[in-house]
Amino acid sequence: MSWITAIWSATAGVCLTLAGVHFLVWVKSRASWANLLFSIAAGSAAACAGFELALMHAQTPAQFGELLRWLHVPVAVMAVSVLWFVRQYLQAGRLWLAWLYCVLRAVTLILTFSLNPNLNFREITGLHSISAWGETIVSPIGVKNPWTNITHASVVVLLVFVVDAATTAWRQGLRQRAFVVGVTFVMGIIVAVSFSELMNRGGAPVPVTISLPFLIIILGMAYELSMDVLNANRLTRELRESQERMILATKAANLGLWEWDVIRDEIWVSDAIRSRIGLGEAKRLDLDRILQSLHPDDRAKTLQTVRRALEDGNEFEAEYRSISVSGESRWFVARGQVERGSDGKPLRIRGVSVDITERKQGEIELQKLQSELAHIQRVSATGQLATTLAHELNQPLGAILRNAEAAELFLKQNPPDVEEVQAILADIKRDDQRAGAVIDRVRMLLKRRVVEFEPLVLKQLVDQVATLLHAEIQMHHVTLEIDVPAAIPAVRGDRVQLQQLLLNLLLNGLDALAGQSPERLQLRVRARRLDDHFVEVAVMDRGTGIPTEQLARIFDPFVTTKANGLGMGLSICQTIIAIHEGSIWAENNPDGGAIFRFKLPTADERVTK
Amino acid sequence: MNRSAPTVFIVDDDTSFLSGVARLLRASGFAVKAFASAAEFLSHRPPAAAGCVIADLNMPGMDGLALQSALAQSDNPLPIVFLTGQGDIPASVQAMRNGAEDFLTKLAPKGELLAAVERAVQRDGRDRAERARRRELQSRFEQLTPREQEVLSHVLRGQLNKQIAADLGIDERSVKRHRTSLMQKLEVHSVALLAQLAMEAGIAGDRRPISPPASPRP
Repeated sequence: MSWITAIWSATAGVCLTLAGVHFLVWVKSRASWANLLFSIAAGSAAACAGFELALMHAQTPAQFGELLRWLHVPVAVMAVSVLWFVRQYLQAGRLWLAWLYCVLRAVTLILTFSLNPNLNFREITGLHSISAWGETIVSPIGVKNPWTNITHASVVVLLVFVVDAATTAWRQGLRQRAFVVGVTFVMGIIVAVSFSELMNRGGAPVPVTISLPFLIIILGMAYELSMDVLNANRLTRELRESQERMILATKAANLGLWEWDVIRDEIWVSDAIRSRIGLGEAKRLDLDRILQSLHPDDRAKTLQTVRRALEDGNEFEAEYRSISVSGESRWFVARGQVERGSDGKPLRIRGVSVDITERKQGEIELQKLQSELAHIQRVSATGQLATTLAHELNQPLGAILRNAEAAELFLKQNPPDVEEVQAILADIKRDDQRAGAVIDRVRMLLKRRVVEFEPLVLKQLVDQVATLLHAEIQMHHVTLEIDVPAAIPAVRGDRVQLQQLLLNLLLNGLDALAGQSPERLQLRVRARRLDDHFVEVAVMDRGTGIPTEQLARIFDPFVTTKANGLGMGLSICQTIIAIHEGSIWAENNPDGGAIFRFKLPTADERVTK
Repeated sequence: MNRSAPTVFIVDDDTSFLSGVARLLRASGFAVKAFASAAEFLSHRPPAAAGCVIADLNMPGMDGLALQSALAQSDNPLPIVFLTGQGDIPASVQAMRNGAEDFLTKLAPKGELLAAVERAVQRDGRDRAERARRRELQSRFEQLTPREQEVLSHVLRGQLNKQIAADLGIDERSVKRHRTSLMQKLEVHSVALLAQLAMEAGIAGDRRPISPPASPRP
């Protein structure tokens, strides 16, 4: 049996198969360069085997020389790809050694084609037929070419490179890889060099072979790569398990997972979200479709948040209501991370979404409670004030009344008791002052707090009061229209007092609207800049307005148009405005209702006291 | 003891209001005495003075309701009219249940105030006459000997002399004598009048001993 043909053909076959398999792996996964390099190396080894078989059956020395010259090509390709495989696979090896080797290999290729007959021999004088392994093969007889030493040098470089790379990899903990690659490569290279040296010396009855020793290397590489496949398999299994755990965890925590491919506008969501918004398996999701599943009021806001995150953020967070397929609306918070390419452009956002309906309801409840509380506090404070006020005022007023009645009677007496009446008048005067003092004390209550002037943004102030009154306004089905341009200059004032002022005016407005037809249930706050020094704020209602004869006195204490009013609210307002060096006045709206206007100095123009 | 001139006692911690009301009432023809606190009034008032009290409900120290109950337990329970700076429903209900003549705010119309004072003074007059008559009757009943009281109680139950004699274990003549004597002491001439008098004095037709005068009108 001709073993030589069988073995070399088998070698070529094995190498080609491996080359094919790994080439396919690379085609499927372009990033796995190790597989491509392996494929090239294995293909070259197969070519080597072919050339060697032809060499061994060469008819003439010239043919042998020519074939040997060409054999250098697959050997060079194979050696270079093996070298880069090592570097790629072990993630180690000195780059300058690698390039040095490549240069040396290129030199050998140039030399072998420029020298006659080739790099190995100065001349081949004849072919020596030997009978080996069941067939007759030829071995060259000739003079060794000294240039062939350059291949030895290149082999030394290759060895150094491999040993160095393997050692580095070993140190870095890739022990198995380093060992397999290092040992098989060094062995293969040494065997290959020994064979070629025997051939070069000429006359040695051995088959010319590079491919067989390289087969060792190829098999070593193949073994390692298949270990990778096994590893990948294990990783896949682990990944699946960890994914299952993840799903379990997300289910337990009621989390939805999502990922948005920004460039292709394609959204992947976990099954929980998918089934919530009622999408089948197959249907493609994009941003628009997701926005459709949100509460209409939340769409624009959410889209804006997404855009902002894409523009300049790394974090994405949005709270929104999502409408389920059954029409149920629940609150969610979505948090994600923006992933950007090397050019900084957003590639995708990955994140989770959590059902926060309970928390949100709690928040809304709390907010409602707070505003109710604020209202109750205010009302009870007013009520308390009213009670105290009524009690304290009734004393002097009662005294005045009784004295006046007594005076009437004394004057009717004949003769009138003038002395008594004079005493009465003195007492009445005193009691009047007492009543005034009570009112002053109420004013002092307002002033007692240390007044803190600061620049205040009118819009904020109005919004805060509107929030405070929100429940109250809604309860009365009144619409509050706020028309305060953001560009209006800040006013200088005491936040609490100005809030009190607006609160009083708005509450008065609300009272004035009681019993009005639904289309008149409107309150409006409008602000404008008067000039460089003042802004004007108007609070308008569509109620019954103020009787003309009362317009001038409406800010006096105890003047009220309400059945159970104390007549203190507007008086307090005037006090506040006076503290702020502004002015306040009332007028009737030609379209019905009252307008209260006040003027406040702007923050920058105000002269500090 | 001057029973004919009723005095209006005004109690209020607010001296200004106190003098105002005092002036008004004086000008309206009342005799007036003003006190700045309930304690001062209770310790300084003439013990048997007739009239009524006008008091503030809210006062430091002893307040109006405390004054009312102290007054009710005294020998001279004058009717009381409350004035208050601020209407306080629970307190006013309590005051009225305790027999206040009226409950007015300090800014109440003059007419209401004077009418309330007038009513209170008149009521005091009636109460006073009632109390005096009772006291007089009781003093008459107190003159009876124990045996006469026994006989009286049997007479009031409608028993005949014979039955009374049997019950008390004395002879009929003695019964007759006791009857004549007690009728004389009580200044009545018929059993019907006797029964009426006993009722007025609060003595029922049983064997109960004579009780002290009942508390003032509820």
